[in-house]
Amino acid sequence: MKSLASLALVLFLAGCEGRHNWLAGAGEEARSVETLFWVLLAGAAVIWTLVIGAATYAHRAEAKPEREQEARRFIIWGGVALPVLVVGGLLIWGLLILRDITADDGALTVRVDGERWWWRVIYDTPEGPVTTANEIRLPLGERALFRLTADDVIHSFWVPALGGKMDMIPGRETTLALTPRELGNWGGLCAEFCGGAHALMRFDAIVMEPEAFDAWLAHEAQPAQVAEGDAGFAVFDEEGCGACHTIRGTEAQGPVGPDLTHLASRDKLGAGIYDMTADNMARWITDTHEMKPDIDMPAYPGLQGERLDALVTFLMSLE
Amino acid sequence: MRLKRWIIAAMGGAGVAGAAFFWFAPYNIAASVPHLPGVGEVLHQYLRNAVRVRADRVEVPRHVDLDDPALIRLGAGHFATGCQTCHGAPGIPRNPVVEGMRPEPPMLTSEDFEPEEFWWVARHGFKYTGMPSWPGEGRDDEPWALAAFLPRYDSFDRAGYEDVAFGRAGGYESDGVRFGGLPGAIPQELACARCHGEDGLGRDGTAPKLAGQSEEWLAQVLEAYAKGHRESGFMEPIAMPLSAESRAGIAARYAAMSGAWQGRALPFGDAERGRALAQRGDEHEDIASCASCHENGDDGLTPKRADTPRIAGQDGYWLVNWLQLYRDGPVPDTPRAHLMQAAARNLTEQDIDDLAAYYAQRQ
Repeated sequence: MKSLASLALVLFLAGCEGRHNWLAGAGEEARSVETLFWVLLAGAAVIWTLVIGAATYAHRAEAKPEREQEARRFIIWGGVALPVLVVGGLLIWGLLILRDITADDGALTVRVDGERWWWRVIYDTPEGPVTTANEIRLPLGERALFRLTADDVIHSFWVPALGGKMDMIPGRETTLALTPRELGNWGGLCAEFCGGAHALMRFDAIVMEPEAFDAWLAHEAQPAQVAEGDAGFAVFDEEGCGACHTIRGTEAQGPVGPDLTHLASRDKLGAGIYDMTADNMARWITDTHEMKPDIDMPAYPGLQGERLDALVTFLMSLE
Repeated sequence: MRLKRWIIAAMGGAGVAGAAFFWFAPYNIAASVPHLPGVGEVLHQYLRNAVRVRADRVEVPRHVDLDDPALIRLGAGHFATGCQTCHGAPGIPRNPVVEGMRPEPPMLTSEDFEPEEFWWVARHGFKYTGMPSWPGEGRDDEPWALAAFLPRYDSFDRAGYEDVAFGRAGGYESDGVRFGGLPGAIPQELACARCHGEDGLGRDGTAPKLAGQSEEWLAQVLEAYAKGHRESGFMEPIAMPLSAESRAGIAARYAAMSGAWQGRALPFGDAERGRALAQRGDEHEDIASCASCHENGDDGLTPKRADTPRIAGQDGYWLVNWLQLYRDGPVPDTPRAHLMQAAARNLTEQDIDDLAAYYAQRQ
């Protein structure tokens, strides 16, 4: 019993640690939700104490039929009017927060499309859309509005440390604002079970200084620098990778999978689950479904030796 | 109490009698002895009922046109490979060996069955007879060629049959001692050419075009048919007996042929939409672009790799058929077939029709 209780405590506290901590207060929206949470918790404690106190009193007190009228009034005020007021007030407060965190007035608009099991990310800039995947970068202190859609099944977009979460529903667009208040690499994940690799559908949400963010976005908007006759790109092309993946600036314009134009500039591979290393990249290509079960990308076990090396070197050069 | 004793005694007696019957086998199953009066007729009528009931639920696929002369030729060509040995052919009698079978494989007539029933019989065969099921496991598409040919069986005389099955009269030489029909009964070149054409252009849709297809691809596919890694009731019986050298020779011969591929389009499908899908794929339907593998940058007709087939200019029938096979199976068990399976996974019927319309008209 004791060990079970300590296990529950460990699990509970584990939720408060690190980059997925929803109490980290790293974003404006997370803070307003957190305030709501603490007020709710304190209020619940007070109400619980009062109710238990009243119950204890009622259990011990002697029945006094002459005070029936008084008791009825107490039940109506304390048991009907007060809860309606409190719950109604909380609802209005919650809706006000929801209004704030879904309002469309963000200077920076980011479209995120949920796919099984990765994230298509498109920054709307005055110069046009900039497409990337599986990593979201945000400028510190600026409100970013996310326009969320899903391409296949229902997903849910959540960066616990910054705010949220919001469902992504096929055929609809939902919105969610995030205003980061702390620098850092915060974890994001899909919070709605969406099939086989759901637990491996993650992303990094990296909060940067605004100047650094602008430089990053400008770089991300550039096409890839691929040398004429690059041996690795030749393999990429011959193997038909361009049927699904886009590398801007080349003939590879496939719309199905993640955009790879600046693949190697991302921290993680496979939608937030592996470090971006050459070894992981090679395994991703040859043993795809060992790395991430159920995904649509076919494995290329026949790709070995020099050709694989050339392809991996090429992909790791896409910064 | 008494009744119970009787029942036990009767059951014991029946058991002993049954065991004795099983052991001493008094019923003569010799093929040389005719059925008891009436038994053959009852069995045959049951067979016909079984076919009728099951064929009732069979529908002709929409890309199959039973009046298509190419499909009739394909059916006749396969008939010469797989059926003629036992059933004979117009003007060609059965080998006397077959006449010793019971049931005896009949000479066929167009009147035997409806087209869907012919399909069912060719696809499934009959237990307790010599009639096999279709040799290409899961290839529901292939027996439709016989369902196109057999309803016209009676209209052919020997020369007509040889012409439709072999592309030339006298294709089947009845001289010589032979049992087992093809292959071996006719020269190897003709065995391939009767469906794929002497010029490798597929006899106007009878079979896929091969002329100028890459040697590596042709050799790989022939090997896959020979070893059962690629299912086909047409190709497996042909490829299985071929030696590796023969297969290499055939691949080289067809690869060396040249000729303009003129694909026959099906009467449906939107080639313009097919072009867009083939070139760019589709983000929301998760469809990969075909062109990324099947078209190189130069002429847009030749694939990027030697182990990828050319599809531009192939007939609509074969394009639809193979897209459906890659999507629904049986998918070949060859090294790169899973890539095509991934590409075809999300195709709708409309997508398949449109892609076929686009690639059939490319030349």
